[in-house]
Amino acid sequence: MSKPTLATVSLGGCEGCHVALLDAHEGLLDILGMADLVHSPFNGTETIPDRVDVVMVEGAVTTEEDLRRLRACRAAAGTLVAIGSCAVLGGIGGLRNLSPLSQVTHVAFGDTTKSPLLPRLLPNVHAVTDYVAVDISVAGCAPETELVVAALVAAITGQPHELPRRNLCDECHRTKNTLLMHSREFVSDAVYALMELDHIDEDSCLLEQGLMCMGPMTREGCGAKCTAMNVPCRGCSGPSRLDFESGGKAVDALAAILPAGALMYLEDLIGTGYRFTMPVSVFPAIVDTEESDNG
Amino acid sequence: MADTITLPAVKRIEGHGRVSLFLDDRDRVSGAHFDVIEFRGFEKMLEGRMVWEAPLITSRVCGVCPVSHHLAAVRAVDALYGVTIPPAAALLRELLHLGGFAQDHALHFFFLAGPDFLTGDGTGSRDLLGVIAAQPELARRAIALRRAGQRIVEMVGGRTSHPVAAIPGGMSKAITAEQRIELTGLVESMRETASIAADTSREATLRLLDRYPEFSAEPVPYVAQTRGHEFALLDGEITVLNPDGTITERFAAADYESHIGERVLDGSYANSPYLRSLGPDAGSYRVGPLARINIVERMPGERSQALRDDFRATLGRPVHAVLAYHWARMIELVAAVERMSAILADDEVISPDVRVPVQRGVAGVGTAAIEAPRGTLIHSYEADEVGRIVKANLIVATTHNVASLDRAVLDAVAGTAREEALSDDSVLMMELGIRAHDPCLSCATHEIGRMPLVVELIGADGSVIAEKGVAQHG
Ligand code: SF4
Ligand code: SF4
Ligand code: SF4
Repeated sequence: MSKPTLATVSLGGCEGCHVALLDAHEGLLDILGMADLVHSPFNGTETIPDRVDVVMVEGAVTTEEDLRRLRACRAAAGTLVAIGSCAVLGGIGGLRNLSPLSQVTHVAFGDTTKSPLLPRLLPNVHAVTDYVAVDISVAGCAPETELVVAALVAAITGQPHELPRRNLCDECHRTKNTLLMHSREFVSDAVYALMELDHIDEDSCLLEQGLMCMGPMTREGCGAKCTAMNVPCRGCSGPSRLDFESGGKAVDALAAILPAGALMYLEDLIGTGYRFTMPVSVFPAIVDTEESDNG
Repeated sequence: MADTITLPAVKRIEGHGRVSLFLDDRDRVSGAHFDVIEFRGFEKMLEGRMVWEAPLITSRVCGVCPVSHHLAAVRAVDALYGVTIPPAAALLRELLHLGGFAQDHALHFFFLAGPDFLTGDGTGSRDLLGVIAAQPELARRAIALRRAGQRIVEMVGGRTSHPVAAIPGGMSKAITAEQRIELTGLVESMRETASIAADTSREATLRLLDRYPEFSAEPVPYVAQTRGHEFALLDGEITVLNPDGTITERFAAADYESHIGERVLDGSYANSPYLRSLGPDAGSYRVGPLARINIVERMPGERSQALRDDFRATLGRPVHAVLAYHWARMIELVAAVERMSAILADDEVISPDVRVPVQRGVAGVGTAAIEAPRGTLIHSYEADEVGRIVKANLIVATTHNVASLDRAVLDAVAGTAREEALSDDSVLMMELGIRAHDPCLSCATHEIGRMPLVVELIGADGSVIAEKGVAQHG
């Protein structure tokens, strides 16, 4: 019996998700034992075959070329696996939706007109789910290697796939003294940048120390690696249910635990609350009023 | 666009680029460009963000060397606030950098470029799987080396992809004595493989140079950051080596704009930097392993010093052959291991004193450069009093090498007729030249993604007459 086929494709991302797969190290050989890699950045074939049992796609849709390739992936794939926050949520590159494309290109290239032979940039960055149905999605920037591997193994073997459901606070080692109490007291009297703290307490909740931590509005699964390093979570795994707005949830949570002035103190609510989720948020994306040349 | 034909393509580069070949009116290749065909717009995205978040945002420019962006950004913010970090933090940042550096160099040598010279007679599949099949023992070692490098990044930086621990003022967390022991073990485990890789790359390079002695060896300037004459990846001054081997400029990263200009290209989403002193044409230069090994005099340890001396004695100085990048890269792998070993031998590395608090409140510009695996990486941020970024500029390694990539491609096919330009041999040469640079297109800020390289043939009238590599579903 021939093995199932596997393809991995990178759209508009940083390839960190592919590196996460590569970081399975010897485990990668196990996956290659289970499926034939027919197309990938690591391997020799150029085109996605017409039929592939499992296609893993990384990255957001940023150009017409990305869109064309994504559609080819969907058409070919028995099971389409979206890996990483770029693919699932639009990801960090989605912050470009805060400005019209003409301004984004202007900062990089001035007024130079680009050759029509270059793939056209889309006015906004999109999650792959904006265009095609996805069978399995694993957010994270990048997702933990084990999560990537588990998703691929499930897809290859046809087993059901489940992601962790709780919030990051549940797997964070820090003691929450007041955070989870039904108290009307504010837990901190101000909001700080991490670098401003005189002392970082290694054991107590970072929110309670006055730092903006996205743990309460983020899906667990990463092992709370950042908070273990004394760094507040930035929400790279996205919200725990996809119909839930991470930024809106942040405002909600913070209103209860930080002083009234705190929200105003969050100088960059969008860049914090929606860092990885702009393209799937309720925030409108900003486009040029006139359909302009792509710069 | 008239008859477009599609043929197999170039693989195994980080990211996603395209080659355009221009024909003259006698239908011979007279010009070539290595085009970067995607763009993410980080510089604009950073506007409005808080400047201390830049180390967490810009790591996402490149998943292959996120450590470099994380550290370049944090050093730029330190510079903005005029902070001096504690010695232990400096050691930890360097360790983090070198761990990432080692895994990245190993990835390129063994699995991206390796298929060009590790798969024996070339009958096996010329990809990662081919290396594993042809050289199982070497592949196993390479995987172990990468794993050790990534584990170092994770322990010191908090995560392998997009680390988080470097913060303005130092590091968010110290390492413990136990971690130091584990880290030392990891570094020692890399030593032998690094050494084997250096020997293998020496042989492979000499074989390639023997076969293609003239290939892309035109004299050009080289740029790298050094500490005096020392190999230093994290801090120092930007040094310029003229094509004739004399050092002509040394400047602080903060002055980069008066020394480096950026030319915007219409056929590519990457800009092409050049030395202002030499002008846009003569001033295009190379960065990366070959630049560093050409420039520095003192390597971090005995073995890397001996390797560098051998490199110079064998090939001269400066070495201009683009294929020599491979050898230089593996000398650096050995150097990284030696330096990590020295850092871990220093008791300061476990000092709990790893940060100074940093207060916002001043507006200004912060700029820093570091040596990423592919070459000099410059981050520059202007922020207001609250700390909000008002302007950001990033010049990444692959961008500096854009002109050199053009030259390598042109050298592979200059003067050939159209069929010959698209022959397997020509494409192989273009690939060899491109891959020698280890171009990381996802890291070139102005672009992303990954796709086989597309070769386009453009006629004297400007129309595309043939295309190699763009595939139906590619
Ligand atoms: S999700 Fe993150 S790691 Fe993955 S491609 Fe996007 S930016 Fe890179
Ligand atoms: S530090 Fe962050 S993740 Fe941990 S408990 Fe507090 S809010 Fe939750
Ligand atoms: S702690 Fe938050 S930001 Fe860090 S890896 Fe986990 S989800 Fe991502």
